[in-house]
Amino acid sequence: MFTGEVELQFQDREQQTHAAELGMWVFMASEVLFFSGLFALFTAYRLEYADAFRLAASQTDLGLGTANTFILLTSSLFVALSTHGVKSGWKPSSIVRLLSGTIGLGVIFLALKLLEYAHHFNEGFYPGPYYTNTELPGRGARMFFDLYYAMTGLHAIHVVIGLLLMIWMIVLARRRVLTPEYHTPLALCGIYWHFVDIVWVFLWPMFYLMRA
Amino acid sequence: MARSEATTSRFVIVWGSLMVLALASFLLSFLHLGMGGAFIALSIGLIKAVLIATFFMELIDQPSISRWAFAVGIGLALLLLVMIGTDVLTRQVTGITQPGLIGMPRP
Repeated sequence: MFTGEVELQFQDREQQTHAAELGMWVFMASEVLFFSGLFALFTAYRLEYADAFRLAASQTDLGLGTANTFILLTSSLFVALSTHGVKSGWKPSSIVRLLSGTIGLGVIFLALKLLEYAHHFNEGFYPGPYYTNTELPGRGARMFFDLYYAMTGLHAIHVVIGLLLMIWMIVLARRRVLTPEYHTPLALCGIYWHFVDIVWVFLWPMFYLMRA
Repeated sequence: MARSEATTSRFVIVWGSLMVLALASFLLSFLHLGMGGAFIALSIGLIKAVLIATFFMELIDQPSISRWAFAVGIGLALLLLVMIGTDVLTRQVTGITQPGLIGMPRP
């Protein structure tokens, strides 16, 4: 498994690679639709509770959210360079360093996210019926934080999956499975990581920048 | 080897552009432009997403069938967002939330 051998149903490696990449892009399209339901919910409630959403957005930590944006964008650079490095025949140790950097940044992202959640919990911004904040008691603020936890939580789960994939890629790089001729697993995992980055690129303005 | 270096610099340039755009979004958020600010922030987000998809995800080098597969997902998502937005904005009865549904004590 994942050794670069051409499977029986494919004529050659190029056809196998194209099939794998097409499958990944179809999966990415399904992920777009998966997230779009929540984005649509946000759109509807943002239009209905415009003022309450702007006030609630003022309660999120703009500094931490912005730091996380720069962190994820930089992690995407590391992944892109690692894929490019494998294709160009860079040393496995360089690839491992880049992927380790990605994992480090991903862990920092999650740590900052947890820190944010802790701050919100201290202020009573709990999800659902557990919401106890008295400064913003309205329905709009409750909906904002319900969506905030649902969307950033779902995104965080994707980051965790991406981190596990990157650990797997380090194992493959160390075993010298990834070569200029065979780099499909890393290319596909890279596409997944970049998609996670794209989702955050939209979550950031929605929950942090569109504030009162 | 020269091609490899050119591609490496391309990734770094794209990353630099993404950082500049993110910084621009951050600074513009302090101007409190209301709905205009939201539109600008999301537009900058869209530009960043296109840059990531095109260069980091290497959509630019993918065969057209892969590009179309992804484009169909994006198109359907946009359709969903536009239709829901239109629905909410054109409703005669205000309110999309069933009264009393949120904040009710748990049974």
